[in-house]
Order: sequence, then C-alpha cells, then structure tokens
Amino acid sequence: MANNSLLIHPKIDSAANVNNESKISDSKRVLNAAGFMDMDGLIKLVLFITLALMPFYFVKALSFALLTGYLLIITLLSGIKMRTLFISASSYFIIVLIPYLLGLMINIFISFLSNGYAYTQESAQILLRLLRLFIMWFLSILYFQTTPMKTVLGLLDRFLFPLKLAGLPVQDYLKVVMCAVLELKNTGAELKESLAKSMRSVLGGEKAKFMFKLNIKALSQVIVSLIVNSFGKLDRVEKLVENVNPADLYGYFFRLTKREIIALSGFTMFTILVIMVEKGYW
Amino acid sequence: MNKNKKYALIIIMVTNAILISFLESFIPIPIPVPGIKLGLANIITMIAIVFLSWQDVLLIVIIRSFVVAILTRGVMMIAFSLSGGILSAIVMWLLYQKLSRFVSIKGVSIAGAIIHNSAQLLVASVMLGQAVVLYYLPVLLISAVVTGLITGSIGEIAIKEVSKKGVFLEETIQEETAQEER
Repeated sequence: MANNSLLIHPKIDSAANVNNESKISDSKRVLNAAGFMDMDGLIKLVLFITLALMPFYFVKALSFALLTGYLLIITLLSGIKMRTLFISASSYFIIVLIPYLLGLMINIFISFLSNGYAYTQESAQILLRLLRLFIMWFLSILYFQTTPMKTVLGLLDRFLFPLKLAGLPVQDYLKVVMCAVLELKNTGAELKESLAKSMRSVLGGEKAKFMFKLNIKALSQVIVSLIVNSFGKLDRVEKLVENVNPADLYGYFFRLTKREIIALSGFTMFTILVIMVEKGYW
Repeated sequence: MNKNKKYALIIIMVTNAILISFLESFIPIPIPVPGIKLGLANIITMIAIVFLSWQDVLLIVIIRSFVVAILTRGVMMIAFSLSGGILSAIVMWLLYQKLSRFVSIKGVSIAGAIIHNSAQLLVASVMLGQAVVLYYLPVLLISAVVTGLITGSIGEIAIKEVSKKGVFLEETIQEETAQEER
C-alpha cells in the first residue's frame, strides 16, 4: 500500500525517504520475527484483548500455568528482543509495584508506631490482581512492539471514525503522531548520541552527587540549547507536514492468510483447553 | 499561525519532550526516591502553556503520552501518562493564565508536579483496588516540590530563550490581542 502511495506522490522526497526507511526497518523486523510481526493487526488485537481479559475469569491455577506457557510461546515466536521487554516491563514495577510496596511499608510502620490499626488485606487476592494487571501490561507491550506503527495508526483511524463524523480532525492528529515518530526515528538516534555525549562531558567529570547545584546549571544549558536549536528545523518539518499524505503514513487493510489461520487455530485450541480445565474436565 | 506551522511546532515539541526524558537517565539524583522522576519533559508543557493555546497544550500532552506508550511502555502506561499529564497541564495553564501575577513559572511547575504525582498515584490505587498505595503520597508530594522547582528553574530559562528566538511571535501577539480584547 505504501508502495502505491509513493508512486502517486513522487514529489514528496522527504516523506518518501522516510517511508523507504521505515519500509526497510519494517522488512527487517518481519524477517527477525519469523512472520509473526506481519500478522493482521486487527486479528492480533482481538486475540490479545481476549488473552488479556481471560485471567479475570480464571479460577484454577492450572489455567494460569497454561496461559503462561502460551504467552511464552507467542513471545518466542514474536522474536521480540528480551531487553525491550525487560525495559518496558520494568516501568510496571516502578509505577505500580514500588508505590504499592512502599505504601504498605509506611502503613505497617505507622501502625507499629501508633500501636493502632494496620491495613489488612488478603494477600492472595492482591497477588492475583497484580498478576492479571501484569499480563495485560505484557500483552500490550508485545502488541505494540510487534505491530508496525503504520498499522496501529491505520486501525486507530478506523476506530475513531465516529469522532471524524463529529468534525474532529482525526486524520491531522494521526498525521502529527506519525510525523513525530518518524522525526524521532530519523533524527532521534543521532540527537540522542550527541545529547548523551554532551551530558557526559558536562556532568561526568564532576563529583555529581555533591555538586548538584552546578549540575542543574549545566543541565539547563544542554536542555535549553536542545530546545532552542530544535526550532531551526521548523521549516523542514512544516514542509513535511504540508506535503505528506496521510495515506503514505498509515493505513490498515484486513487480510486473512495462512499465518492468521494458524494463529487463530492455535488460539482456539488453547481456549478449549482452558475451558476444559475451568469446567473440571481436566 | 497557519495549521501546518502549528502542527510542525507540536511535532518538534513532542520530540523534544521525549528526548529530554531520555536525558534524565544521565542525571544523578542526590537522594534517590523509588518511583520518582525529575519530569524534565514538563519543561515543554510549560513552554506550550506560555506560547500556545490550551487546546494545543493538551494536544502536545496527549500525543507525547501516546507516542511514548506505544514506542516503549505499553498501552496501560497511557492511563498513567494521560491522567497525570492532562490534569497537571490544565492546572498549570489555569495558574499561568489566571494567576500569573501571584504565581511564578517555578510555582506553576511545582503545582504541576504535585498534581501529576497525585493523579498517577490515584490511578495506581484504582487499578490495584488498594487505598494503601496512597500512603506513599506524602513522599511523592515532598519530592514533587523539589523536582518541580528544578524543572521550573530550567523552564524559566528555556522560556526566556525561546521568547528571544521569536518562534511563537505571531501566536503570542494573537494571544495578547485576544487577552486585551477580553
């Protein structure tokens, strides 16, 4: 689809370059992922949402074990980098688990000091809730890391159709999202490297922990120069926004191939197995 | 300001916010508090509050949360980013636009950090179904004052420099004229 769009709009040089680059990276990802990544976005979304909701209806521990095994298989098939998964999953621990555990600790400490009421809870239930949330989190990471951005935005474009009818410029907003992603992909890596360099040179030599006041001054210099310099590319980005067609940036078309049929069959088998376990047949 | 220039500005500001968040990993924090971030990306929200309309500010916050969630942390992150981001942006916008005589940029930033942390903790407690999470709020509020002050100090310099550059000049003039008319 992107190919056709590029033929229709050959004048959009920058956008075409960007598209070619993303096409190359997309094809690389497809090769790496042994085809899983190229699966239809909508079917994958429906499967993942169902998988994320399943644990809320599980009663038996064996169902969780089966789900874990199934998730492990699809994670391996997806070819996703373990480092990416680890980094993404760590945000779950930082944002959800740490405040919870620290809140619990503070609560116990207060009740210990005041010899008063300590917050009681059923730890098994909490653990179960944390596990269910983690599965949801994990599946969302897996989906977004294995689905091309073009497809995600293409699907969003379809889902947000009612907002379009209400007069909201959904296409413009999605174009802005995709342009921001492309901008990050194109200049982000280079900028990241130079920023890291300047940050190390500014902060690295100092005894950072004890010279925090100095660090803030140096830090503000780096940040302010990044912001001020970034507006230098305003004309280029404006031209990109002006010339690029939403159809070049994102789109979704339903497809049902052998790959989707295999995935659906595997999922159906897993669901039947889990239902058997839950009903007590196995 | 024409539509495409506005969108280009929004794209640049969103990418800046994401790159600034990346910078945070290099900054040593004297007293590390679990779950605490400096929130330097808030500098971009402050710049937007000063130079752009509230609709554009919200658009920047929503697009930033969306892009970060999709690229790195998963869709559940959107609930946290959006609740904290949108609420803090609204409060900061109101403080800057209505009470700028009494509240400095640093004050606006501190208020934004407090609202951001509180909103995220509230979402975490709703998701977990556990009020016990809120016991951590005092710790987060104290650290929000410190991080908000740091972010506000840098934001103040950034706003001055951006103002000198005159990128938003047309928009600022429009805003000032609209305020005078009001």
